[in-house]
Amino acid sequence: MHAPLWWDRLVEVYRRSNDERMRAIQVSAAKDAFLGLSAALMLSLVVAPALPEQWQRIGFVALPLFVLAVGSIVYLVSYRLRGGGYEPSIANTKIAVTAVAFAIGFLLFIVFLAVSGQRISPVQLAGQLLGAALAIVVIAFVLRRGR
Amino acid sequence: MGRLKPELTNRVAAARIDAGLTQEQLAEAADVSRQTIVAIERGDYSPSTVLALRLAHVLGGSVEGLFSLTNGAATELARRRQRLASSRGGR
Repeated sequence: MHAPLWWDRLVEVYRRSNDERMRAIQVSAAKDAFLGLSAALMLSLVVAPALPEQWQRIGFVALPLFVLAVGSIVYLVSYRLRGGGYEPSIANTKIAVTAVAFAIGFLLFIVFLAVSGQRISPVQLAGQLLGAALAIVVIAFVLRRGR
Repeated sequence: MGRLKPELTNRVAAARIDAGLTQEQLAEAADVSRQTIVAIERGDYSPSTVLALRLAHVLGGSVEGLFSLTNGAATELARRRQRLASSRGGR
């Protein structure tokens, strides 16, 4: 069975997008992200034990997310500043994959809610949807600007 | 990272236009992204020896024809070579 032509073309563009210059940029951006990640981790290790009792649960969720967010943002900023970019077809595919992943994640969230018997208010649901949509818009913006 | 030093100049854009190729076509033939071709033509990126050779093959020329040192840099290197030669001769 042969893959469709558009798929072959996409794989080819993706392969060429990871040429020697892009690899060098990615390595440098990853080193910067590692520094950012380490700093965020150290900060979390200092802050976590000092959190009040009632904030411990929130901190357990928020601090790893904070560490990940710092690492990702440092990577993206460094990648862009060093001249990294995406071909339009790669950027569009990444946006589409991200949107589909969000949709699947949201469906799983709804299914788990239903299975566990927990309820969520319409306002909370709207907040969740808004947050997901905002995240996709930010990712799409960064990827499109990265062309 | 392979940032182009200011003493290096290139005529990739001119050679590409002479060959009747677009940046995308040159990128495809040299197996790199279009952004890399743009960066090389702008002088923002110094390609590896392999990529320089690949570009020269695709554009039908030599690496020296595509990439060269500026006059200032070439003069400075010639001066150093003379100094080395004279120090060797003085031994």
